[in-house]
Amino acid sequence: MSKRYVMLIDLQQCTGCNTCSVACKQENNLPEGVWWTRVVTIGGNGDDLPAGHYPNLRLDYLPLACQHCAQAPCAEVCPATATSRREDDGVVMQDPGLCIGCRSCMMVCPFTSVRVFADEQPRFALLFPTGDNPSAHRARTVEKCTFCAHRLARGDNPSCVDVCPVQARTFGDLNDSASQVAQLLATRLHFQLLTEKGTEPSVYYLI
Amino acid sequence: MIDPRTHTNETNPKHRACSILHQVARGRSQVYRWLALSFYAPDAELAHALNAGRIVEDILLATVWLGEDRKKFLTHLGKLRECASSAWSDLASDYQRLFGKSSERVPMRESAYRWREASALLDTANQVALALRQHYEQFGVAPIANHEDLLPVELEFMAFLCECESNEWKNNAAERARQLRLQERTFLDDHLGRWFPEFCRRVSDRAPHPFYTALIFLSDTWLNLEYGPGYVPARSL
Repeated sequence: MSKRYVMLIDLQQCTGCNTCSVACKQENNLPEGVWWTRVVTIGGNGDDLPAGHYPNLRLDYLPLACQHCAQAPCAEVCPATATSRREDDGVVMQDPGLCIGCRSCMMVCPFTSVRVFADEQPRFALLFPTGDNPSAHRARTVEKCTFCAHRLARGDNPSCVDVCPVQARTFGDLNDSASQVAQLLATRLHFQLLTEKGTEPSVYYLI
Repeated sequence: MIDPRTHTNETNPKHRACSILHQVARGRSQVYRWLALSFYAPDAELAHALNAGRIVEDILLATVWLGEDRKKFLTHLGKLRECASSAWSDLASDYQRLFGKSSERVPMRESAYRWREASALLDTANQVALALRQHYEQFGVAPIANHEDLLPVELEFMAFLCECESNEWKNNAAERARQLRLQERTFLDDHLGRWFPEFCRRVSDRAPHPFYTALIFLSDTWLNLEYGPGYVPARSL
């Protein structure tokens, strides 16, 4: 049986520290202004601002990246086969080398800002590349999270999973009933984003 | 057009995607059509559309899906709107000066810009026309002889391809629609995108009427958005 990789994010643990975002940027050598994962504040109008009035305040965080949908519309519409869903593990890949910059994938993706259209020539803060992702960045192409496919290939977890200081993220094969992700989903309350769109996201949020 | 991403009732994700791209392709076709019409010799109909603000309004409505990227050509649309009171005769005389029988004329034909790539210099026009005619014939269209490489004809062809793509998305024929989307990009790659920036630069050097200034930079910005990686916009030449 093929694998179905999923990511679980425990919202009770997430502190909104953005270590995942920075680790992703480092691992994938992302240019300035390009982020494949980020942490959205659920609360007031702005990052780290709570909703409500003191002392009745409420603030939550929602880490957000490509949801690697099982019914990925982006893979259905890409004219250049730059976006594709791997049958053997369910990872939705994006190859900037093949991308023609038409942004069809961005139009049909129900999730906001999980893809980046890099308008400018890539600029880097450092003079040397960081991380192990071998794919190059090109101006005017679309990029997104690949669940660190290059790390999966050597048996490692995605970078954001390994670096989370509170271990809010868990990654694994949902088709393996003994896996930690399968057991957590069986025992914890959880939700997926925008299930009404029918895309069957592979990212689950534990609550 | 309303934003297709937020206004579709489809619940099947594939059909929803097709519904969105049907509207996007229709909007793109609309933009190419207005650009093509504007590059033909101005007539009363064009002047009326300009005076009534229809060109700007149509392009604005047809590009809602671009989101933040639409801001890139709002300035040019604003300039186009300022030309609403332009007289048809002014447009016509400047069109003649820029593209007609005039010593200042800027050629509006692909073959005038692609001579470096032709195998026989004196045969450039025929070679370009032949390549284009073969391309058009694949899609069952045939422009008037000797008009194959005119700018408005190439823009009209793009409008036609986008319209075909839109219809395929409407019929949920994703594979065929994807092929057409790729063909559009190939046409930009092989033809329009190769010479338009140089044409645009030459026109802007002739201090054209504000309508044509706005039009060439609007077209350049639009093609830059359409082209993806590799386009060299006129202002960077």
